[in-house]
Parts: sequence; C-alpha cells; structure tokens
Amino acid sequence: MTAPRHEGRSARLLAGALVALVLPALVVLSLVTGAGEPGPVGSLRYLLSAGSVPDAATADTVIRTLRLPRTAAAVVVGIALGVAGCLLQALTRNPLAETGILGINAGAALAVVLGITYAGAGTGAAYLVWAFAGALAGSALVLLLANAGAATPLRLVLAGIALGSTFSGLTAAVLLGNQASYDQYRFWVLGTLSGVDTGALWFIMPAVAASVALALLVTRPLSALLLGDDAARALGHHPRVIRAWVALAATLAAGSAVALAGPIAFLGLLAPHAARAVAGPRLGVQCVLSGVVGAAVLLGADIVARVVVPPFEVPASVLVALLGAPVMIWVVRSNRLLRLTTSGGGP
Amino acid sequence: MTDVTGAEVAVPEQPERVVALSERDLDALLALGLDPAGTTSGRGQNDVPGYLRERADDVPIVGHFMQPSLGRLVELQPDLILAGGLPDAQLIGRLRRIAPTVVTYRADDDWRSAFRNAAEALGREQRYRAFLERYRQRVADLRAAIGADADATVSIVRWNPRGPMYMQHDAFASTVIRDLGLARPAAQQEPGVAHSPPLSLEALERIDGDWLFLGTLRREGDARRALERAREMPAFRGLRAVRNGRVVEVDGSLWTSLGGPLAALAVLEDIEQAMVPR
Repeated sequence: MTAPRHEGRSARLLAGALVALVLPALVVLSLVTGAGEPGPVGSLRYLLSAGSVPDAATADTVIRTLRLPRTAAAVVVGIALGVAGCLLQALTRNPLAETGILGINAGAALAVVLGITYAGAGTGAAYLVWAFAGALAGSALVLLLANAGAATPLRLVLAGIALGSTFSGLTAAVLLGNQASYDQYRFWVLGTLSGVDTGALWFIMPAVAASVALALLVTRPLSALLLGDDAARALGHHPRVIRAWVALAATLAAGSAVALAGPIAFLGLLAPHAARAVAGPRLGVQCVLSGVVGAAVLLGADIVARVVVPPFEVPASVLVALLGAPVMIWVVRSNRLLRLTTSGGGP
Repeated sequence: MTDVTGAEVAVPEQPERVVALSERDLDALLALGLDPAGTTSGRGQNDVPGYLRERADDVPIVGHFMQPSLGRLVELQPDLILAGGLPDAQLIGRLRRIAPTVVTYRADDDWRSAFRNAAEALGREQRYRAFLERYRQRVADLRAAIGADADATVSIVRWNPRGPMYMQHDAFASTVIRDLGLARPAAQQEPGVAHSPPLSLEALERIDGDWLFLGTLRREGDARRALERAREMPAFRGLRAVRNGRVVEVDGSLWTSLGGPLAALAVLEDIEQAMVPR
C-alpha cells in the first residue's frame, strides 16, 4: 500500500521541479525572442555582458523597454489568473469555475466600454483604471447577491452567471449605439501583452502580491470548507468569513490581470487542473503550482505570439486557447481530473 | 445601367430622393451637388464622417453601414439607392424591392470607379468630369508647392499603442498619396485596401518614413493624449520622422476610411497643412 504512494510523491516532486525549471527558462527565452533586433544571439550577449555590447542602445530599447515589461507582465498576469482560478474552483466546489465566473471579466469589460463611451478613455492607463474598478464592482455585486440569504457555492456560481450575463448584455447595448466605442473596444477585448506599460505594471503589482499572500493564508480553512460547511464549522471555521476572504483574493488577482492585459480566458480554468494533476491533494500546493503553471503557459503563449507571423503580433489571449487546449485534453485523457471534494483526503 | 454586380438597373431619369448607404456614396452624392435623402453612419462612427458633417449634418441616418434599417428606408421613399461595397446579395435583393439599387463598387475598387458609377446612376457625368479636373489641378498645384519634399516617403499609420497598423498600398489614403507622386516606405508596399495586422513594437521602424501621418480615432477625453503617450515610448521616440518633428496627427476616420472624392480633397488639405512650408 505504501509503495505506490511514495512513487506518486516522487513523481510529483519531479513534475514540480520540472515546472519550476521551465518558468526561468521561458523568462530567458522571452527576453531574447522578438520580431526585431537584436536576435536571440545578440540578445543573449547583451544580457550576459550586462549591456556592454557594440549596439547597446538598440538592444537597451528593445530588451529593457519592450521585452522586459511584457515578460514581467506575462508572469504577473499568469500567476494572478492561475491562483485566482485555483481559489475559485475550490470556493465554488466547481471544476468548471474560472476567473470569469464572479462577474470579474464582464464587469471590467462593461466599465471599459462605459469609460470609452462616456468619459473619453483612450489610453492604456485609463483602460487600466476603468477595468480594475469594473472588476471589483462586478465581483462585489455578485457577492452581495449571493450572500443575501444562505450563501452556498451554488448560489455564488448562479449569481456570477446571472450578473455576468447582465453586464455582457449592457456592454453589447452600449456598443450597439456607439460604433466609435466598438472600434476602440475590439482592440482591448483581445487580451495582449504587447505594449504593456511599466507604470501600469507597478500599479498592479501590490494588488497581485496582496492577493497571493491572502490566498496562501486562506487555503487551509478553504480546504476544510471543501469537506462541506458543517464539517468546516465542526473544525472551528466560519464558512461565510472564509468565502469572503477567498473571493476578495480571487477578485484582486483576476481584476489585476484583466486590467493589465485585457480578458484572457481559459487560463484560469486550465492552470488549476494542470496543477492538481501533479500537485496532489493539498490546496495550498495546488494554488502555488497553479500560479506557476499559469505564468509558464501565458509566457509561452506570448513568446509564440511574437514569432508566428513576424513582424505582426497575434493576441496572446488567442494563443492561450490554442496552446492550452492540448494541455487540458491531456489532463482529461490521463484521468488526472481529481475530484475537488475529495481533495481534503477521503470522500 | 449595369452595376458592379452585373445587375441591369433601371435608374430614373432625374433621381431626386437618393439614399447613399455607404460613406463613399454619400461623399460622391455631395460632390455631385445632390442632397442625399438618407445615409448610414460611417464605419466605426455614430454619425456621418467628420469631414462630411458640415454638408450632411441634417441627412437622416437609416442605420449602420451593412445594417440599414429597411423600415426607415421604406419611410424615406427613395427613388434610387446607392449601395457601394455591400457584400450581402440577400440584402441587396431586399433593397431592390424598395427602390432601384446600384452597387457602385466592390470592396477593393478605388474611389474613382465608385465615383464614376455613382455619377452615371445619377446622370451627372458632366459634374463628375469637372470634379475630377478640379482634383487633378489641385494635385498638380500641391505637388509643385511641396517642392523639395516631392520625393519624400510617407507612412500612413493607424495608431494603437499595443500594436500600430499601417495602411496597405491600395488603401484609400494610399491612392491619394500616390496621385501626388509621393512614395510609401519600402515596408508598406504590400497590396491590399485595408490596414496591416497590429505590428510588433519591436518592428516599429516599419512605420518610419520621411513623414509619418498618424491616424488616431478620437480627439476627445484622454484619447487626445494618444500621441503624447506614444512620444513617451523610447521605441517611438527613436523613429526618424519623430526625431525630425515630421509626425502629423490626423483624423483616423478620414485617413483610414473608404473615402470618396471629398475625402480625397480633405486628405490633400491635411498634406498641404503639414508639408507645404509657410
């Protein structure tokens, strides 16, 4: 009985180590890959020589002001979406939950459209503020609606779906009457990491850091909650309070992601499943790994986005779906879809 | 007459209530001195395009381009419909039941042929020829006034901070530039009437040229600051056109539009403002 358990553990360790190695490798690859000069060799030389190469000015502009911010943004957004997805699936006890479910993306989209149409928003910084505010407001409304009465995971999901649809409907209604807004919106709605502003990155970083810290604090009580509200109460936890904190962490993370890069679907669904397949039953480990997987997949997608049709760009959000689907299929095929409710150990 | 779909259209002798369903047809109608009975809002806009607003402010709007409201069209009781650029055969069939409908151009035709077809449908060929003569004269005068810059390369870009797009070689504004004898940069020679996909910011040198006409979509709210923001980007600041102070912010809805004769004059006007030394 014990042998397979040990085998499982060492396999997991190996997988975890691999994932942890993949991310740094991708970061380096991201810094040396792009449509412009310097190419991979020149970029590596620049990085290794700390900037003292012949054509340092160009390399400096390209690597420091273009590739570095988008690399950092991919990692931050990927971690945020991975962690948020993991928290949301556990919170709703629903393996289909993802970052869109609390009305976060729909709220952000509606706010951006309102900002474009009625407040003349037109720069990245303005989109950022509107999207972030919309994500927070959307999530807050969903929580209010779900918590009016006995809060259950199912109520949360249904409230999220209902309000999300409402937000999307309102967004469509505003856009229908405002072609000019639509023309701007269609570039925002295809999430991309190209041209990410360093200032925006600094603006969003504290929120992501806070949400990850919060996530690490709440995973233990959240695991108890997975056993059912009664069991959690018997263990001395307060389901309502736990849910509120988890929702706050997930909202901060997903809201930051959508504000910085625009909506990137599927990653928040994919990362937790992939993480669960290798991380075993502990929720804290799952969520950390989910963040790492999210960062690796998004960074990989963004690298591919630069090289498929150079010198043009493909939105990273499109590639996440294309690259993520095979990973998801692998998870499903390999029978690693662990059931959420048993992750506390025992059915 | 026969329109571009090959359909034989029985146009009235002296059409009086003409609806122009595309921006280019509206432009042609106004250039030929006719008051439109109705039109659609411009691409990506809520109203008639800015450069036509003065002349067409009170023209009833019957919906968006490609999605005209048939009910409102019927109410207007047109005796002729100009429907250039409409790809939807079913919609054209419905229009033909309301009034004789002339499809004046296909998506990749240039503005002159669309203008000629509109003039033929309206029976105003003489005004059409007079207008073209005026246009030729204007082009010749402007070319002379540009002087030393006549060999300059002109980049036409639709600005987007996350990936700018340049206008392809046969896009509307590109053809006006070509009439002037100005060249496009080597990187902007690909055929096509639309804009390129979003460019990588690492390949920003592809939007460089002796002159850079930067089309931004809106000039209100903080969208006004688009160019200001662009100037904060080191990659943008490094462009030759930027260093030489030869970046011209223009109305994106005009420069990236599918314009007609009046739009062509408006583009010439912008070029004169920017390139003729004063």
